[in-house]
Amino acid sequence: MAAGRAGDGIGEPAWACWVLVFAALAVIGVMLVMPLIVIFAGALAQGWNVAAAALADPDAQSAIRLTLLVAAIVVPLNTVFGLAAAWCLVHFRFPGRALLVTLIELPFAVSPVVAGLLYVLLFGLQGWFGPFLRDHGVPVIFALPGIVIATIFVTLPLVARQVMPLMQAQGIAEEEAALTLGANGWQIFRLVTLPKIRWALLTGMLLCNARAMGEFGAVSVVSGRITGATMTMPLQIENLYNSYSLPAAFAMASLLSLLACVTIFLRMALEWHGERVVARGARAVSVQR
Amino acid sequence: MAAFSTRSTSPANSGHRVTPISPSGVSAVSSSRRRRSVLPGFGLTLGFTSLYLALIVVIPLAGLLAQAGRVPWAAIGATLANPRALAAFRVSFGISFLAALANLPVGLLLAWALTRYPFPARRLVDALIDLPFALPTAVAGIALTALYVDDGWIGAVLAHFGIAVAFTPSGIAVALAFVGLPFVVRSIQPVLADLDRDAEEAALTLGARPGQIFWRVILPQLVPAALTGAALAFARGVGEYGSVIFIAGNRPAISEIVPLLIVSKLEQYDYPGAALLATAMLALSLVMLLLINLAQRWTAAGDPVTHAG
Amino acid sequence: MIRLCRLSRNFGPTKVLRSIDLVIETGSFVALLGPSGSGKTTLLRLLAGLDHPDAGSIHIDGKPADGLHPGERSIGFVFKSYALFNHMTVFENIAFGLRVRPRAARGSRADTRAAVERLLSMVHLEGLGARLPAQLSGGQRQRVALARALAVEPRILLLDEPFGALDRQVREELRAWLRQLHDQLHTTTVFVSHDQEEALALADRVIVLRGGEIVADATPADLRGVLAYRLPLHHSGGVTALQHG
Repeated sequence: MAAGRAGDGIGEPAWACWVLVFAALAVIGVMLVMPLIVIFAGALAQGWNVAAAALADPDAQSAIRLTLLVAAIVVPLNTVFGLAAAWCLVHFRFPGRALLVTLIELPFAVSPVVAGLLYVLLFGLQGWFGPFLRDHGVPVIFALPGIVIATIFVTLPLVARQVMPLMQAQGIAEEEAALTLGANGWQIFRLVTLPKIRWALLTGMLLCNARAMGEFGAVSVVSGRITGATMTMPLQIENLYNSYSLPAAFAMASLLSLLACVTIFLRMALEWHGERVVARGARAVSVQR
Repeated sequence: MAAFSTRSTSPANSGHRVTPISPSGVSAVSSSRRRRSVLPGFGLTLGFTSLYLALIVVIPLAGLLAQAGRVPWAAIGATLANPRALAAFRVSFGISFLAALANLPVGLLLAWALTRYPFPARRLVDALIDLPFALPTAVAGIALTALYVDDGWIGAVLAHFGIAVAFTPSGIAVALAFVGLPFVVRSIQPVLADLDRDAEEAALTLGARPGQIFWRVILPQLVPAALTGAALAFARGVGEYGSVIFIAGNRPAISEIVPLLIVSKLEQYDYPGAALLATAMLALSLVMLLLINLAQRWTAAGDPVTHAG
Repeated sequence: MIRLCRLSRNFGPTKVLRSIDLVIETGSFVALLGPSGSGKTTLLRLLAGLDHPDAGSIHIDGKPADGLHPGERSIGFVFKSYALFNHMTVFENIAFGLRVRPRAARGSRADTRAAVERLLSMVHLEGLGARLPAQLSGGQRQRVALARALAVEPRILLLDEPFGALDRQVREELRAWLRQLHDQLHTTTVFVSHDQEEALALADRVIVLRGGEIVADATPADLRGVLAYRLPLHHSGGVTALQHG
């Protein structure tokens, strides 16, 4: 983001600048920072030991493991999808392309609860595949597969949406050059395209991971809330909160909050780095012209 | 006419030792043989993408519609138009609308300060805007509840003035404002950053005061992006579940949101009813998505769009 | 030898190339000259296989090129924007075509290194192998693009406005050097230009395109004679066009 020409504003007096900046900081403080702080404060309300014990609890541990497992499955899958979809939709024009783009955006327009409902309807006992799955002993709803699929749905667009605009903007001259030099499709993708988009790709994966680990609504509907088996961290947080184990709930919430903070600051770092790379490239190109 | 043609000078006459071209035996390439692009991988990526989307998005959606279709026509009105459902729609859509509206001036303020005033640690503060995006909704939900409950840090202050937030519709508004804020800010920021500063300087030289410049020169250019951001915040708020159910109170007809109503129906095994409600929400969301896309094209329409390749 | 037969290409309603018939001898140095929109770049891309004709055919050395994709046609293509791999060093750029060959056809690493070094000295960029494209001047980047295209020992070299974005002195140096290269290697060379003077100075044969058709096809000497009595075909901004008289 360009810093803009700082100093030559629209003639507003200096005090107005300061007032606006402080107002903005105050808003951010109240709306964004305070919720963050209250989580950590709530976790430590009864002291560090209580919080640590809560996290060491077997149910908490299993919730953490389940959440990590779900993310470990969902993020790679949606990354591969995002790359394939970007390659297909950016480089080629074909009938039905707009439909595919809309379908990719669709999960953003759907409430998480509806997302979970989709799979309950499909795989639940009254659903299309329910009896079939029950007869074959494959549990989907109220089990890991259901949680994974619902999470895939909800985080589907995240990698694609980061990568596609960048690939669009970068054009295909380098890919065409590689083609004339005899590279095949995989080589072009691996050696030419992937290095160009890696910062956007990492950002997308980061966001996908944050959302996958934090998804609540869809997983809540699909998981059946079987403690020790299908409770992800967000569900466990709800459980603890509703049973008034507040420090435990906030302790687990602190872990996820830390993840959120790492995500947003890593994203900032990646964008900053990506910007410097682009700026160097842009300067190089402008020298050519 | 400056053009001239030496067509009569066929290659054979130009001094080049060339045999005339014989058209016989050369087949014309039919356009059906022309591929869409020269880059490889079309079939593979299209196949994979379509399959993935079919499995994850299309088939489940079909299942939803099929289930919703199982509600007999007569009962549709009863499911959708009963007082409780109508109240839930009013709550979800109405409060989302208000929250999005409230986010407009706030988002504008934040976008302005972050773009125009390079204060120290600006990048860090800018990164914080993404927090509602990255924070799990359940975590946001309990945090906001803890803050706004009557003995919470903010709730206590408000209680002095007799304002209760937690467990009332106001709580829902607070939660939805939290969730929707990044959409508004991130929609306005790029437009603001790319504004033509020369126009503002021109206005200055013409004697306009800062307030006038902002109101007449800058703000009109931000309106499309701001509205797009608000629409996105609205769309997100309508479907929001985790951030809301802790702080909402969840009393039917007063502070019950549609997603919660859907969950209730599921717990009563009223699958068709739940599916019908979900379809109604989906239909409304798609309409909103369409409007947002149109608005975004309207935003882009002002720029000279150069198509690469 | 390249043979184009009734080659046509449309973009939507616009006929960019209209039934072009052309033969290009092996080892010749041909310029495609014309104003923008005349179809010359399209023609070059069709030759490269980066685009497909709507009608007509291309034969290279007697074999139809239609089924061959760009990597199989033994062409070297130098793009207008050079299209260097910006995240790779000069060395890696030039070595690219050698490294992506199937394992059987790939040489040893030492062979690749030797080939790249040879090319670097051919284009007078010795010692710059470790630099990134962003650290090079326009003229240097141009030469890397050329070296990269030559690394795969193509039978046909295609250049799309190779000197367009460079300043005059660099342009003239590179022109002379490209001619020298051709005389040394005898690769069939086709280059696209909107600069009349450049085309006439460099090529053995100038093909003038306008509106998708060939309107002239002659040696520079013949063309100059004709042009002496006519206005130039176009004025390319900033570049000297032949004066009449």
